[in-house]
Amino acid sequence: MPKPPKTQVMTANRLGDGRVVYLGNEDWTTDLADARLLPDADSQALAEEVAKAAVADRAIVEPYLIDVDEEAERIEPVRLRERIRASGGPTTGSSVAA
Amino acid sequence: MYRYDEFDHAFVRDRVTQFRDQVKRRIAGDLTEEQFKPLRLMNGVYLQLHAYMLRVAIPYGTLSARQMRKLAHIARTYDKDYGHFTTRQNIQFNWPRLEDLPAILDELADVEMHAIQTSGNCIRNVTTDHFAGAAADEAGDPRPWAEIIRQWSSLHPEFSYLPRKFKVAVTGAARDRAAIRFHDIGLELRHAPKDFGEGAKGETGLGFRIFVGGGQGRTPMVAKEIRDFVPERDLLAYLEAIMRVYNRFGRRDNKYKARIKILVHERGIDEIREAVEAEFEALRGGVLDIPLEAREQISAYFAAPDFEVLPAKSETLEAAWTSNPVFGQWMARNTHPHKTPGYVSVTISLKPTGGVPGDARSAQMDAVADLADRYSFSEIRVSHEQNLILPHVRKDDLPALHKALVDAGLEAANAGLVTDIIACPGLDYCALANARSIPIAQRISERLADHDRQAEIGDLSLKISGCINACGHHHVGHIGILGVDRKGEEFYQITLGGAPGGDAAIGEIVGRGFSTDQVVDAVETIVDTYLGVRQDADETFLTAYRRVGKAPFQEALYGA
Amino acid sequence: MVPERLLAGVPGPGNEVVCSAAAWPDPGVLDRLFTGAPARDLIAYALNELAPGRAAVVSSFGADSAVLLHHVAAIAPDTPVIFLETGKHFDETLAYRDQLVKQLGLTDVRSVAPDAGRIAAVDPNGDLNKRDADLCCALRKEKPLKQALAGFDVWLSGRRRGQAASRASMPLVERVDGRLKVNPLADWDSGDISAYRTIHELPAHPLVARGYPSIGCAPCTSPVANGEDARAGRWRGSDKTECGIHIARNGETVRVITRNAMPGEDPPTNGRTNGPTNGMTMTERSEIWTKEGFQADPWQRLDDEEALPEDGAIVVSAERWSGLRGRNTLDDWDVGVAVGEGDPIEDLIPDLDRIAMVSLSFPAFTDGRAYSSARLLRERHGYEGEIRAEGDVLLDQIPYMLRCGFSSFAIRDEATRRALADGHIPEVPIYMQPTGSSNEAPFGNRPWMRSRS
Repeated sequence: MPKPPKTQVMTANRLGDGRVVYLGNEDWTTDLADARLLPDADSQALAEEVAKAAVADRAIVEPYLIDVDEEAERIEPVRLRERIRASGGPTTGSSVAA
Repeated sequence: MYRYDEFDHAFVRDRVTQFRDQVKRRIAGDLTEEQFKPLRLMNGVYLQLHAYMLRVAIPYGTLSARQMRKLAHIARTYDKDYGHFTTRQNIQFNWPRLEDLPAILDELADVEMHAIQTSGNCIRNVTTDHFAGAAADEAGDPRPWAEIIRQWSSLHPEFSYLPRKFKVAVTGAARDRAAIRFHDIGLELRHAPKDFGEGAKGETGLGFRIFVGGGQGRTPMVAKEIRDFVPERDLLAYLEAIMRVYNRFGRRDNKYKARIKILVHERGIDEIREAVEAEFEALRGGVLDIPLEAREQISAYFAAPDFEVLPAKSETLEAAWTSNPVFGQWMARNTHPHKTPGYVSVTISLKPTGGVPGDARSAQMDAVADLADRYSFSEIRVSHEQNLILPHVRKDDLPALHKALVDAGLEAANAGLVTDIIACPGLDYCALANARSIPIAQRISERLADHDRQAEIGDLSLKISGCINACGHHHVGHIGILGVDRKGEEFYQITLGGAPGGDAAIGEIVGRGFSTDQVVDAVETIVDTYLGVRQDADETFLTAYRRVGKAPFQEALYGA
Repeated sequence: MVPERLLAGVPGPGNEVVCSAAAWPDPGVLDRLFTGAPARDLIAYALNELAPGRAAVVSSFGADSAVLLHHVAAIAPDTPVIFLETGKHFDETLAYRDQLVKQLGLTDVRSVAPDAGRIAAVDPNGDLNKRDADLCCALRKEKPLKQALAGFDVWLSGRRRGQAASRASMPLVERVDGRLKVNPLADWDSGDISAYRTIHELPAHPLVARGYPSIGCAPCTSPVANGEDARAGRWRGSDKTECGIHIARNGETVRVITRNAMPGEDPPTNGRTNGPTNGMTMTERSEIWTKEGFQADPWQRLDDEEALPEDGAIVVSAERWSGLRGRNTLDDWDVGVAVGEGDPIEDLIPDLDRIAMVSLSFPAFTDGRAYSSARLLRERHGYEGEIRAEGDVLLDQIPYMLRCGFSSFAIRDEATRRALADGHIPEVPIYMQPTGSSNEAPFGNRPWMRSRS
């Protein structure tokens, strides 16, 4: 039996400055809180189409889907890598102290 | 130092123009990301987790004060006020915008710098001994050769789309500080092994012992000797022969098996040698011949500065040493013998307690530039240990220099000690990483901060990589730490006994990995175990480890 | 000169031992004494002390000969040098002999020919080498050498242990047929020879660059491939490895086992399995770009099963070419050969003057193997026909392709076609490395700099 799909969010980097973006309800957003939740295969396939078009428009690069925790109060990525990306920068170091 | 003439200036400007055009075509949609990516990588531009990253070459680790000030300016103007010095004598800026990159490259060209071939499947920035030209144990100066190789490899029409990246390191010293046996090609400048008599037209009898097929990454290998002596004037022909054999026969079906170390491993060094020698026979004496005049022309740029005639002993230094123990500690660790009496080379550690290894703020870069102007003939070096070097400092000036370093927050007296940690950017920045490196380095550095304890431990290198690509050189750390992802959690695998130099060795895995919470304790346990097993204070960690093996460490870490 | 400590106990003119064949020292002693000493010490000792006036050099003026001759010329340029003029040498060898003799100032080179009467009797048609190579060597080399060496007590040879398995245990000094045979370069490897030649600026035998690391008579010498023993090209196809003059009377020849040549092994593939041109339709191929601009493609690509047209310019696969090449004439065709992606170009070399176009494939623009193939064709093998780039050919790589010798480009990428049509070729026009191509000229102030010519 196939596993029920996990809720996902579409992410990418912006072409111009490389910043992390998420597919929102209207447009791409830098704030994960505004991301469009993609609970099933259909919505995920649609998001992939939208992302492909955005790549062709040179708005974004390297789009992919990430798993998020549905139980959390705010949208929370499952993997540490994505939590670090969503936080906007490194967890420590020169840019944090700045 | 090398200085650009009109041709070098034109070359780098034209490369910036070419890259600006490539960026324009990418934004206009004439280049897809797939087509653009190799082009931007070959100009040092990565897309990391949070932003683009620009890796700027510091050719064979040499910087002028003026160049350092430009790096500070770029950090302030286009980035978040800091830069990261890497293990391959580069500096990385972590936050540039794609559209700003051509402007940044133009600014770099103003001071004879560039980002050419700091990434991509091409011949990368050539590295060398950070004490080159100053070290007391040198057979010859490797910098002119690194410069000649830099020029020859720049935008090479045949070797810009190799199976995989290709790294060359050169040393001219008896003690290998450039880890040449862990490079795709390692070059050791040396005297001829046989007595060939006096050569024609002033030929020096210097040449290169050549190693091929070393590297770290997921399949670490120590390079093998392919030729014990290639005369200086044949060097480019020999390198081109190696490159051609690799370009033609290196594997392209699997990127993890595409490095030349795999070709050497699978075919055997003898078969590779025969193929290279046949190619070399056809190339030698041709257009790649390097006549003596050309070597002298490049070497002239690296002539020693006007050193004063000084006594070997400095009264000022002796006085400061006895009266100021903090200065004494710094002096004992961070200065190195110089070939000229009365001078030393100085390591400026970028490893303050709890700091990010290799990071420097723009104000610190400016401060180092000022100190280089004042105390080191305006010259700075960058080491693969991610520190800065002032290569030519008068012993008399050391107390004043130390005071200035304290003011700039750059006085860490830990060169070669356990807190002189090498660490890659790890999962805080890097799109390839599996685990964070920087926070581990910070916590170990805080735990072992006590200087007396570090001094008692002595020479001990600790190297951390956030993934198997091994940018943090963990394979060759006396203690190596490799970050892995275990079911979504960061874990750290420890290796012991690695070494990068003439005593090259790949570290052995000590046992199962440690969680983020355990790893600092584990390092401390290893250090304490060493202190317990060593025969005396002169037996270094590496020597003791090679004598007793990993068993005592395993016992201490995991129980009997 | 030989250090005192080496001479102690060694018979020679210096310590009153008569230097006759019967009283000569054990060659093993000399061998031990000179092991590790510079080659010139042993040579000087042999020429000046061991047998002054009665030592000769035997040289083939082959691939490695210059090093021994250079040593000898520096010590005693009037030393007799015996060259066996078998009548079967390459012209290049004879020219190289004359060049070296002049450059080094050798004053007593004796070219020794076989006895004309015996040649007329035994090998009147000059084809003995095909019928009995051993007899041919005996007639043209062994007998003349024996005569030429009469009157000499010592002969010097440039043979090296690394040259062949049959020489692996050769000593520095040995006794052969009552003479001392001195091999001063026995422990030199090919790297030492090469380094010495560079440092002393000695010219290379012209055939070395064409794949002959060991050179004897023309009919019995062929090039060797990468991975083969250096002498594998001598008497290829037979188990003969030495000519007879270097075999002790009771000696045995050692069969040399060669490994497979590197280019013949499974060539690496690149993920994609399409042939070089399979993915292309005729319309995409109908125009090609050259430095003169876009033009109609005169070449017609034939599949391996497709019937040959009566005339015209046809491109065939390397496999099909191997069937066509046997024909005496190629009728009215111009023939181009499409080399499979990553396949070595070496198989085409003998036929290059009959091939009007070589097409090299870029299965992906990141696959750089064809750059090497093109440079080898142009620079190593002097190919002057068209070299075409096919496959994933993109704008930013075209300047590199031009530098490597490509002259025509089949382009699928629309943006690339547009840019080329606009005359937009993004190149850094100063080159920091020479390719040896005729498209570039020396430039600037360093020997390796070039610019477009």
